[in-house]
Amino acid sequence: MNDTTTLVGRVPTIAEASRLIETKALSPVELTDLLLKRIETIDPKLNSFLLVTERLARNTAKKAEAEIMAGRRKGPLHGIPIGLKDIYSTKGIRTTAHSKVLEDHVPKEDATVTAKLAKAGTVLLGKLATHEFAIGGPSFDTPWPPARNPWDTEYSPGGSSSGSGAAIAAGLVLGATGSDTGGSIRSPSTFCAVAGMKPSYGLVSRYGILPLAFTLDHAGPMAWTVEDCAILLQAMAGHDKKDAASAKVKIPDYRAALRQDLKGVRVGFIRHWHDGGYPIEPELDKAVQEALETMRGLGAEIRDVPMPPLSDFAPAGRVIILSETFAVHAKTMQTRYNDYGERFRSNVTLAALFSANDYVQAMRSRQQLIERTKEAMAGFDVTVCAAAPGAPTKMVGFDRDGAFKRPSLTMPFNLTGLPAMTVCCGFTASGLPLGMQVVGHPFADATAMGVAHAYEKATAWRSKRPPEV
Amino acid sequence: MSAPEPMDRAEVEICLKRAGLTLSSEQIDDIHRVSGYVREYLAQLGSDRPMAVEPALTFKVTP
Repeated sequence: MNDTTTLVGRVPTIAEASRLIETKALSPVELTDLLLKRIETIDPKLNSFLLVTERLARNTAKKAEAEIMAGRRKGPLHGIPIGLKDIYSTKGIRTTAHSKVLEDHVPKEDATVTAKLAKAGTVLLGKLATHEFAIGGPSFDTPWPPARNPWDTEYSPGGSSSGSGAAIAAGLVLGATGSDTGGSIRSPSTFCAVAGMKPSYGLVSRYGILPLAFTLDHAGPMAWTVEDCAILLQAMAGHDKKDAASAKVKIPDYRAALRQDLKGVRVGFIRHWHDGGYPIEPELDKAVQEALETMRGLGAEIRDVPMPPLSDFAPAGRVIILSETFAVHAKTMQTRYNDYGERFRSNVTLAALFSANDYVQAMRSRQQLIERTKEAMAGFDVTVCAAAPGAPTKMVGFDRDGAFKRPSLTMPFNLTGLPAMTVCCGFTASGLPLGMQVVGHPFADATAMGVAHAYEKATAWRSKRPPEV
Repeated sequence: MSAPEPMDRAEVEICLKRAGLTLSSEQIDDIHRVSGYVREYLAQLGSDRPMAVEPALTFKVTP
């Protein structure tokens, strides 16, 4: 197992590496060494890792190699190097949420997903950067610098799963975990041109993942391709009695559900979220329109879908996310306010201005929005819209008022709990990534991934990687 | 576009005190400055719903 010639000049996808490992053409040890070397040389410019677990990675890779050589291969993730967003608890390994508040926090047990991915045979390369406690934005006043976008390090990689997006795009890990409370998987996925899946609420256990907002938090996979996300989701999904929101549903074969064409698939385009009161950047709009034409060429029926206006989702989303986050952090904020970074503080403190009535009204509004969305999506298999208002923004020059002025394109699917897959749909003239969401019905995660995969395979976007920074 | 008219500063300070938070004067200034946005989206959220509308039960998850 010493043939890494297939990797010269590029990093494989999980699916490619898995096939090579299965046929013993690729050694997990050499693959791990290759990525550790890349982390050492590239990551000082990206800051995507908060901690590299080098010794653990080498030991796990050696164990995986021995098991595979002995005919005990566990499955497609055996020997595959990954990273975990640093809000996923790792037994005996520092888990900080990128915050001074948890600077020395070492969990006593693994998150359910951490344990599941380890059981599947993955090789943990380390813990990945995040916006502090998975909210806010790139912060320069936390103990570690913020992750940067490998497509252009002057730009934000999005967030909050910023390190996951940056590390995957730069070829430092083959896959990673993210979390998504208002768009934190989909924003870095679109800004870093990777694939990211926010599953249905309840599909993936949140146990052991540091909470942000209980009723909006989703855990999910990020990787270079939709197929890789399907492989990761297969290992991550499933009922967990330790998670109050975990659903008891049958887990399908996500990889088998990936489609080659879209014959008969009914795709709803949320046009009024593009050209309504909050228009998206023209280059992104054009890219999504072209993506829809590609889908039409694959056999899809495209029609506009009458979703509720984007602005109807924003008030409920803001009140719920901030209220629940404040409830989690109130005690610590009362005693260690200035140990949080400014971006976290300035967001979450706003919850102090809400009343109990505001929160309950937000949850009532949410129920109405769930029902309106369900009604709008009837007659469609998936809906499609941009995943962000435009291309990535610069790291510096934070617009304090910006988030108030524009409703999020991703929060509606946290409020409704619907599965939403983000895929790259092109690049700006200056070479920055653009992304769109493919959204399914509750627990029809396989459908959303299947449509996104067919589109992805019909385009050339996956052949382009960021420059070696 | 400038920020909307903020809430009364004394009201903001009372809310922060009730929440048990101790902020510097500059930090209170920042929260006060953007408090108009909060008031705006609370107004958008409103409370005019039929009495029977229940809150979302997100922990009762079914397909």
